[in-house]
Amino acid sequence: MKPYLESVRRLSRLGLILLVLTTVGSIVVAIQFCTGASQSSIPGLADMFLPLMVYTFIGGIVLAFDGFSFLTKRADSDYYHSLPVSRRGLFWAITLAALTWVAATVLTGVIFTTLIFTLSKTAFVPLYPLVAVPFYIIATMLVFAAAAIACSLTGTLITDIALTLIVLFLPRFVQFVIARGIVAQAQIVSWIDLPWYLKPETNIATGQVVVLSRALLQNQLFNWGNVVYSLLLTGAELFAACQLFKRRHSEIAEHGAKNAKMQTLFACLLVLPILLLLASGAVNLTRQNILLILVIALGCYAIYQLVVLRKTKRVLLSLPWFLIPGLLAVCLYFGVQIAGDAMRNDVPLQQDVAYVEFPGSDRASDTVSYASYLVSQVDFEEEDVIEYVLSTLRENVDSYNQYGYYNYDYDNSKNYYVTMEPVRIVLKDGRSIGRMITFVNGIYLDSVRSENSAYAEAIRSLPPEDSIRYCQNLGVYDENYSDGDTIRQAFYDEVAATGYVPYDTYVKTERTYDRYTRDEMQTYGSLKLYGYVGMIRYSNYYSIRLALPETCSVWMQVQNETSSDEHLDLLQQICTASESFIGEDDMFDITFSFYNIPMKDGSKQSSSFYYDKYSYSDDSTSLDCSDLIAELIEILNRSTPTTDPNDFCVYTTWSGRALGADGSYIGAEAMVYPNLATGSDLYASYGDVVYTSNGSTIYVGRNGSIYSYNPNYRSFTAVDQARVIQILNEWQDRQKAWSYSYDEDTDDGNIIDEDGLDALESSLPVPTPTATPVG
Amino acid sequence: MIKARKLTKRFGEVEALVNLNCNIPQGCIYGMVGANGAGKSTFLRLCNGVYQPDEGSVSINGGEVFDNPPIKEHCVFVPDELYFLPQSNMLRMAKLYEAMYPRFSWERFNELSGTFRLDKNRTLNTFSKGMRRQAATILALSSMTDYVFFDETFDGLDPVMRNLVKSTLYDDVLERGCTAVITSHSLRELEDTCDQLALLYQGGVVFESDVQNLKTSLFKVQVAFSDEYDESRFDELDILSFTKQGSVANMIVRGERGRSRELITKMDPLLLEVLPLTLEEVFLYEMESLGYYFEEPKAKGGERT
Repeated sequence: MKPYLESVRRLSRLGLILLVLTTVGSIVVAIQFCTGASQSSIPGLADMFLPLMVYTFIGGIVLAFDGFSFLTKRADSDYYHSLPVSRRGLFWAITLAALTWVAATVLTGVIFTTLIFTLSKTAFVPLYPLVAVPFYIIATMLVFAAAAIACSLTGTLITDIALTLIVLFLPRFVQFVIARGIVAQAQIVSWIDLPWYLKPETNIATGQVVVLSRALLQNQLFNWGNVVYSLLLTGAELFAACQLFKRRHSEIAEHGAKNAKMQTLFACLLVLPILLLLASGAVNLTRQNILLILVIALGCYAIYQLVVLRKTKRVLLSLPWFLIPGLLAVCLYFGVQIAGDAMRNDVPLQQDVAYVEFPGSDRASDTVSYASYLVSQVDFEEEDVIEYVLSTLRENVDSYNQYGYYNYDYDNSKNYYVTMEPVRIVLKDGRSIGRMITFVNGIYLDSVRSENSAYAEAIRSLPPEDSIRYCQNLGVYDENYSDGDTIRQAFYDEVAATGYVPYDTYVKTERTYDRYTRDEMQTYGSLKLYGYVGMIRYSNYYSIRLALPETCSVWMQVQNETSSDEHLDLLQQICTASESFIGEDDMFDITFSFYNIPMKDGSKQSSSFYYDKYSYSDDSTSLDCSDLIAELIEILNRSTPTTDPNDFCVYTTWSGRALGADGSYIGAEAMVYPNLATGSDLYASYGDVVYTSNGSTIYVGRNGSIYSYNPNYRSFTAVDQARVIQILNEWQDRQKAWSYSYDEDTDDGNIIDEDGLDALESSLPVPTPTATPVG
Repeated sequence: MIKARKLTKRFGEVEALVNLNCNIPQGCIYGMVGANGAGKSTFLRLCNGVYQPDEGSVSINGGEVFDNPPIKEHCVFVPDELYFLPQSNMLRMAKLYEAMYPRFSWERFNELSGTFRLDKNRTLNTFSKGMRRQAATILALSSMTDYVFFDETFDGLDPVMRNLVKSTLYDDVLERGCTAVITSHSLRELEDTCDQLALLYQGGVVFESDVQNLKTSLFKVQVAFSDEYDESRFDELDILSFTKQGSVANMIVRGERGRSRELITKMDPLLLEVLPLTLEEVFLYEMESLGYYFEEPKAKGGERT
């Protein structure tokens, strides 16, 4: 006990400094996040506890070097080894003391972070702090163990650092090289699908570094399997370090290694990563690159040996050993090629397959959709699914083998949907393999999968209501949350009642250009939901389509109720003024988004029409539709708000600025002025540039404009509807004549023509006004 | 008792100790003298479990020392290069010693700090070299161990401090039966302090004896006769060295002084003087008699020419 307490006291100086720094860092990061602009995201574990990631490496190494600092000085080493403490006792006293400081630091950081999130009512996954504590403690001790091994083997600070890096990173670097090579060679194997012994994230210390370059592994890192594995690894490394410490000769202090042979071994290990760059595929295998890598490696080897061996003769004698890491690199290169090819060609037979799973294309993303989370847990035992997966996999493999990429025929006349999806094939013997498979016919894939009832239910499932933390970018603690929740409630009710599949990913439609604008697919709005289930964070973006008319109606109602800036009267004035702008900065742009436009083929589609005009516009170079626009605006002023999504209606946004005849801006009281932008290196154009007394440059944008981006949905009288359709037809005709890219095969003027207008007039429903016209 | 049997320690190609054998009894102040590189520090480190022997063994109270805390509890080591915790003072170091040595005595620590007039609260790196040695000595003696090892600790201490340390050591030896092992490269440093002395030469103990016995067992005799004579006239004496210049002969004789004087007086010499030798001279002559010559560098430790 006493040696342990003494070690805790001895480590207290640096332990306290690190504890304070980490805590302060945790507080700062937490406050930054909680007060930041991005309020609709739930942080990942790594983002939430970023300072602890830094502490993992700094704390682990510093505490080890400080705890075992006596091993680098003769006097210190002799003193400690003369004490009446067994070597094993001394080692574990230092290790447990370090563990005490690590645990205290991690706990403090986690507690403060959690406290700040809780007090600020910022959403976070409650399980994350519970995972973070053991995760970061074990990760830090894993780094500590590597440093302890290094300190037990060598006797100088430089060699301690070098060997720590070797012990910590070299095995994982070799693994990374192999994995990278296999992924590159196999081409249909993702990092996530590698066998566990090749997965870089199983070591949770070095895994944190790997995910910086392989973000797709971020969510794979924080799981209990990796934590347990790393715990066992830490125990094994600490045990090894203890054995080495017990056998360590005190006289190694102030020497790089026990003897020149050990030193040469360290040097070989040090240059191995450099040579492995050739095997990893990170460097092209040109003569120049090979020579460059060899020269760099040899140079590092020689310099290191010169520093530690101190005698030129010894350095020269050790040079032939450089061939060993070189040979290893060559062997690894060819080994990776062979392994990658073997992995690619591993296509199981159908009779050997138990079931397949679809982990979801977003499995590598920061958040997943709730449906893909559910679908990933479905076991597809259906023969059709298994057969299609295996046959497609075989096609993929054959194509990669022949062409080096997946080569498939693409026929525009066919209706199919190409999709690349991760698939996990589970064999009857318990083995499983994961592959990225390109399915040429995604529609067929969906149809066979739909036979599975669990899948059918999953793609229709919405997140549990109590798991939602943000709805429409508003947090559950936000006083305006209920506005968005109205839409969500309607959406939930209607999806449940209709069995509608709300996830676009799982709804493969025929491949037409107007896929998202026709009939039930017309989109009125969107619903954004963010939350978590267990450790899984989900983010869902649901399109509110006409297939859910009740929800669309609620959406329209909310929009209309919150509408505030239509300024239709000003719109008309500015449109009139745009015929001959007075001010040189005058401008006007407008977008009409029409819904339920009756088409020749009997369908109804939505489409947007855009128009703009500037005071410097040259009519000879731009399409002249000003007369059509003017009439549309007149009709708009006669229109009435509607909440019926089946109406032929419009959603109009516009902005403009125009001087009136009296020299003042039309609608000056409604103009909005943009915020000043500051910065000394902004490229200033268009607007005024002002130089301030402190030397900075302020870019003052253009003068203000009237902005109307929050209008009502508006419908027309029957007469106006017909006229609108005529105007749209005319507009489209003018665009055809004007556009150089007009393609008769696809852009064939679908809007109903005049021959059908008469019949249309009688068939069009008379919209029911739901609000007083906005003046 | 400290026992070393065929103790050998190598550092690469350098043999620091070769087949060293010695017994250090309990309750004495044992001095070990030797030139630089003789193996003194290596021996002490082996006795304290800092090094592990390559061959042979060293045991204290019947137990091997290396990595053996129950045995090491009985030993405390004051090395030539002192170690203190960074930014520590004597009090902080005392706490470390208290944690490590179960019999550490605060009473003794305070008493010795007062005797040596060292400020316990002052940072040790502000102490002079001599003061640091005193501090290390105080801490070691306060550990109340049975064996205390000093590696050239007294070298450089002023005579007053040396006497103070000596008297403190004597108290410990007399009262507790403590054993102190002190190394130095200077016989003069050890002469007044130790009661047993050993000479280390190139990794081995070539000579060890009781100090009092050393001082009295050898003496110089100057004698002159009127007639011719040579060494054979003194066959009854145990002569280590005989030189004659003219009629005066100088002899180094081992034996009882009174009896030797009586024997020579009977020979009716013209001149007879019996003179004491310094310890250095005793060592030199003893080594020569054993066959060790400093001109023969290849002869090591336990080997003789």
